[in-house]
Amino acid sequence: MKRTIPLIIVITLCFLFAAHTFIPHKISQDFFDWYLDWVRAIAPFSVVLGIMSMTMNHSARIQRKTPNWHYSIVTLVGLYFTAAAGFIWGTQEGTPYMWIFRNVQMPMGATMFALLAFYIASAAYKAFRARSAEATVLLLAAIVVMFGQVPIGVQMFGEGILDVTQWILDVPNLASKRGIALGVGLGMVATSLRIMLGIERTYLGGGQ
Amino acid sequence: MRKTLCFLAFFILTIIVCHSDNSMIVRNLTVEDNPYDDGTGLIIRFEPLDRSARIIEYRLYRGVTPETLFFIGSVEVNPNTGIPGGEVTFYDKDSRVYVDVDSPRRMRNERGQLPGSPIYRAVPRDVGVVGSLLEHFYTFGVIDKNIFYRKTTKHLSEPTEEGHQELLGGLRIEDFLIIYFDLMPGKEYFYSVLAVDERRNFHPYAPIISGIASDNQPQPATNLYVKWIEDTQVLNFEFDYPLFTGDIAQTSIYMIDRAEIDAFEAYKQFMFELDKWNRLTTEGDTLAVRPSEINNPGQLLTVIPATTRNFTSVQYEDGHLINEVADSLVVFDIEDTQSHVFYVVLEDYSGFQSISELAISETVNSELLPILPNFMVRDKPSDKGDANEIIIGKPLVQLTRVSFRGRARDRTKLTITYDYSPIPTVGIRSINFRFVDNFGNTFDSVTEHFLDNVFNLDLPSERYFYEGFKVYMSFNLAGKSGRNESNRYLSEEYLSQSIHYDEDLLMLKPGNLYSDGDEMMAFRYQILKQSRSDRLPRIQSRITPLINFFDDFVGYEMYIGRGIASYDVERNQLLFDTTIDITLDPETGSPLMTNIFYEDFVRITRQQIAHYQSIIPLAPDEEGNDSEVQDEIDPFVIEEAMWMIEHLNNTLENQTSNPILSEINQIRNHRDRISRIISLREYNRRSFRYHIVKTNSQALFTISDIYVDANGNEYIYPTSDWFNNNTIPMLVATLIFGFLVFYSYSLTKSGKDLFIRPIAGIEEIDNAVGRATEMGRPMLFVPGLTSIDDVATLAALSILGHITKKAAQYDTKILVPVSDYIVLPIAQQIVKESYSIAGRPDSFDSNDVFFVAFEQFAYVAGVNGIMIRQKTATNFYMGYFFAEALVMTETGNMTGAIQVAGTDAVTQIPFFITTCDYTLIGEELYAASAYLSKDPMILGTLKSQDYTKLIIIICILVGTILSTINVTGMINWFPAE
Repeated sequence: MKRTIPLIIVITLCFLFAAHTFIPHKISQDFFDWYLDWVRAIAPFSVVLGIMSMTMNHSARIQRKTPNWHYSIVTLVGLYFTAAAGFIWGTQEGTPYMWIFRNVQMPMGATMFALLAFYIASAAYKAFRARSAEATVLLLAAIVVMFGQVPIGVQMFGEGILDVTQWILDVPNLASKRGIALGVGLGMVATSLRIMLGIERTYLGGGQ
Repeated sequence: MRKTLCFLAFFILTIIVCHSDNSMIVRNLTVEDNPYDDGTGLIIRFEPLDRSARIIEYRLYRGVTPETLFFIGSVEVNPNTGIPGGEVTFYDKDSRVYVDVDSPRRMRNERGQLPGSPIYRAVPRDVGVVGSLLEHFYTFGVIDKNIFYRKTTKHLSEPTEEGHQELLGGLRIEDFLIIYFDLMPGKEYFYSVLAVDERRNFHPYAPIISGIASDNQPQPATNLYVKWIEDTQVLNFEFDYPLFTGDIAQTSIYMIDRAEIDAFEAYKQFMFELDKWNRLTTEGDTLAVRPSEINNPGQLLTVIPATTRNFTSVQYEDGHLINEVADSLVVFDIEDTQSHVFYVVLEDYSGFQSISELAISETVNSELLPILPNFMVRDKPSDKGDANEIIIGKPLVQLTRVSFRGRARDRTKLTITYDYSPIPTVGIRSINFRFVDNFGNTFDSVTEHFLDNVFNLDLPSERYFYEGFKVYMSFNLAGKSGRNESNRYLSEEYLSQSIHYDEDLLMLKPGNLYSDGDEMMAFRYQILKQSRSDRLPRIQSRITPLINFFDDFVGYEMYIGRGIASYDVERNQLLFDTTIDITLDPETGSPLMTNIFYEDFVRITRQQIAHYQSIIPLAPDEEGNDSEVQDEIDPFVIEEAMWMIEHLNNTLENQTSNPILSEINQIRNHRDRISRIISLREYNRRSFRYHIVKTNSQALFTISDIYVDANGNEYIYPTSDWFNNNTIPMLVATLIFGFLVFYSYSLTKSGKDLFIRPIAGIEEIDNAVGRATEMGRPMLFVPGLTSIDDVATLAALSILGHITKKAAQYDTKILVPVSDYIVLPIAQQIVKESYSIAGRPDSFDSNDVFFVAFEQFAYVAGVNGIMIRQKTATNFYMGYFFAEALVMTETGNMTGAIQVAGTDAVTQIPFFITTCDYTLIGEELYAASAYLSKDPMILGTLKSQDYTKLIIIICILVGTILSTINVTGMINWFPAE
C-alpha cells in the first residue's frame, strides 16, 4: 500500500498532464492552474526539510568533533543569523539582511564564479592536447574558432576566417548539438513513459 | 521606582526627539489639484533632500484628518544620483491606494515614529478603519467571482421608521482581493512625506498640509480634421481625444461662421473661467465670482456618446447639414465651404466643457476615401475559448532589408530579407518575387519555396544598384486554398515595393509597400467591438495595415467589482449592492438586472414602493380639495417619489415578464439560479460583434458594416476546444513511440534477445565503486542542480538507487549532497531502501544524504570542500548542471578521484568530457538506469528509442530530399517549434 497509492497518484496525474498538452479546454487549463497553486503552496514546506537536514548534519559534526567541525559552526550561525535578520528587520534595501546579501553572499558567489575562468583554461589545455586524430581535429577547430572571435585573427588570416568560424559553429557544431538534443528529447519521453506506465519505480525509493 | 522609570522614559524620548535631525525633513511640500480630471486627483510636490543624505525612498502619507495619515505610495531614488531637477512630483490619482493581502492587520505606526505620531503604515485590513473612510472616498472592492456568488451573505439593514429596509451583500474584508480608494471632489485630504536613507533610517515627516480635489473641465480634443466630400456631399470629422477620457460624457461637433470667431473665443474663455471659478469655490474661496453666462455660439452638427468614436460624418442635403441627433437642419454653403469653421466640445458628467481649436474643411473627392479590405471574425480554433480571431485583408509580404552577400561588397550580389504575414484561412505554398527595372523590364524572378525570410538576388549590373528597381509579389497557394476559386486573386501580383538607392546609407533601401496600388502605411485600421451587454461599441484597437491577423482577447470573467456601500463591524463585513446585470434588453436597450437574493429583493422592493407611495398625498377629496399634507411636501420630492415608484414597479415587473429574467427567477434552488446567472452573464458579456474603420487619421475614413458570419450571426462567442489541432504531429509521434515501446516490450517478454549498444561510462560504474572500496574512501554522488520536476533529476535518482545498492553490498560509504529541498527526502528514501534491499540497513546514515545550499556557487563551495576534506575516491555527477559543472569536476580531478558524469545539458558536456574519466552523453543518462537494472521490460524501452531515431532519420532524409526539389508540404506539416 505504501508504494501502490503513490504509484496510482503518479500514474493518474501523469496521464492527466499528458492529456493537458493536447486539450486546451478551460476545464483542463483550470485544473492545471489549480495544480500549480498547490505546488506553490506545498513547495515552501520542503524548505523546512532542507533546514532540518543542514542543522542535523552540522550539529552531528559539531557534537562528534569531526575534522574541521569549526566550519559547521560558521555554517549554522550564518544560516540562522541571516534568517533572523530577514524576519526581524525585513528584506528591503538598507536592512541587515540586504547588507549580508550584498557584502557576503554576492562577493563570495562572484569569487566562486571567477574561478571558472581558470578552470576553463586548465580544461582547455587538457582538451587540446593532440594525442589522437580526433583530438587534433578538435584542436584545429578550436584554434580557427578562437582566431575567428578576436580582431587579431582577422588581421592575420583575413576576413575569410570569419566565414570558416561561422561555418564550424553553424554546421558541424550545430549538427552535433541537435543530434544530442534529439537523443535527449527521446530519452526524456522514454523515461517519462516508463514512469507513466509504472515500469520505472526507482524514484519511489529502492528497487523496481 | 515608578517615578524613576517615568523620568528615564522621558529622558530617552527627549534624547530621541533632540537627536532628530531637522535638516532631513522634506521641505516645500505642496498639494494642488490635478487639472483636466473628474475631481479624483491631487498632485503632491516637494523638494528632495541633498544627494549627500543618501536617500533611497520618499514615502508619502495621506489622511482625511491631520491626526491619522496612511502610507499611500513612495518615490524610489538612486542614492548615487539623487533626484535631478530639484522637485519630486507624485500623482495621487487613478486608485493608487488600496487594501490587499499585504496590508497590515491593525493600525501600525510607521517605523521610527514616536507613540502618538499621525504617520501610519498602509490602511489596515480592519473593517472599522476601512468603514470610517467610506464617506471620504469612492471605495471600490474587487472580489473573486466564485466568492462573490457563493460566499456573499445577505444583509438587511435595520428598518427605518417607515419600515423601509435596505438589502446589501456582505463579505469579510479578507474576501476582497483589493479595495481601492479614490479621492472625492470637494473633500479635504492631508498629506505628509518622509525620507528613508540607505541605512533604512526613517527621517522625521514633513509638516502636514492639505489639499482639495476639484472637478475640472476635460482636456480639449486635438488634431481636428474636416473633409468635405464633394461628390457624396458628406462632411467628415476626425480628431484625437486627450489622455484622460474617463470623465467625458459626450462629444459634440459644432460649426460657426468665420465672422463669429470672436464669439467662439469669448465662449472658450468663459468655459476656462468657469473651471477656474469652480476650483476656487471647491477650495473654499467664498469671494470668487462666477463668470457671466455666455452661450455656445456654434450650431450643433452631431453628438458622439462618451468617447466611443473619434470620427463622425454629417450628411448634406438641399443647402443644409442634417443633424440627426437633434433632428434639425444647419445651413451650409457648399459654394464657400471656407466660410465655416468647426470645433469639438468635450463635456464631462458634471457639465464642464472643453473646446478644441478651430478647423476649416478641405474639399476632396470620394475617390480618395480608403477602400475597405475583406475582414472576418471567428472563434479562435484550438484554444481555451478566450479569443476571437480577426483577419483583415490578404496575406502580405514585404522586403525589409537589402545587404551585400558575403564580405566582398560586390554591388550585384545581394541578400534580401523579407517579412511574411500569412492569414490562417489561406495556405501558402510559395511566394513569387518579380524584379523589374525602371523601364518596366523584368530582369529576375525568385520563387521562395522554403519561407525562411531571406533569399539572394544577383543584379545584372551595378547600374541596377544605383538606379534602383521595383519588385512585384504574389503567392502560390497550397492544397484546398489553391483549389478555392475565391482565392484566385492571391496568385496575382497585388503587392509591389520600390527599392531605391539611399545616398546616406550608400545602400539599397526598400520603400513603402503598395497593395492593389494603395500605399499600405498611409492608412490605419480601427477595430470597434460591442458585446451583448454593452450599450455602445468601443474602440478595441488601432493597428497598422501590416497587421492582417490578430487575436482579440475575450477573457473569462474572473472578478466582480463592487462599490463599498457600508460596513458591519459586528459581522466583520463590508457591504455592497448585490444587484447584477445579465445583459441589455434587446427592445429597450436598458440593462436587465436581477439580484443574487431574489426573494428578499422582491420583498424589499415592494417595501420601497410602499414607502414612496406613503410620500405621495392622497388624491383630492370628492369636493376637489387637496389634503393638508400635500401643501407641506416639496413638489420635487413628490415627483421623485412618483418616478421611483414607476421605476421600481418596472423593475419588479421585468423580473417576471422579461423572458430572460423570468427564466432565471423561476429557478427555486439558489445554487442552480446562481449558476444560470453566471452562464447567461458570461455568454452575453463575451459575445461580441465587430466592425472596422480604415482611416488616414485626417478625416478620410470608411466604416465597414458589422461583420456577419456564414450562419448569419453578428455576435461571435468564443468557445473552449477539446483538442488542440496544432499538436497533431506531436500526438502522432507520441502514439508511434508508445506503440514502439509496447512492441519492444512484447519482444523482450517473448524471450527475444535485443541488442543494446554497450555504454562505456555505465559499464565502468562497477569498477568505480570497486575502486572506492579498495581505497577505503567514500564515494560522492551529485544529483544535479534542478528539482524533481526535471526528468534528468529523476534519471539521476534512478542511477543513485543502483549505485547505492552496489555501495551497500561492498560496505562503501556514499555521500549525496543535495541542492534542492524537494529532492532531499526522495534521495534519502532511495538510499535508505537501497541499503535495505542490499541487506545492510544498519549501514545507512541519514546524514550521508544532506542539504548543502540552494544557491549555485554556495553549493559548489560545499561540494568542493567535501571532495577535498573527505578525499572521495569516486565522484558521480548525474543530472542537469550549469556553470558549476567545471568547478566541481576540476576539483575532483585535482583530488585524484575517478569521475563518472552524465548530463543532458549540451553546454556542459564538453567540460565533463574533458575533466571526467567517463561521460554519459545526453540520452545515455536516461538509458543508464535501464541499463543498470538489466530488466528486459526497461531495456525494451531503450530499443524503442532506437526505432524512433530510425524513423526520425528517415523523416530528415526524406524531408531534405523533398525540400531540395521544392516540395515543402512535408516540412510545413511539422510544427516550427
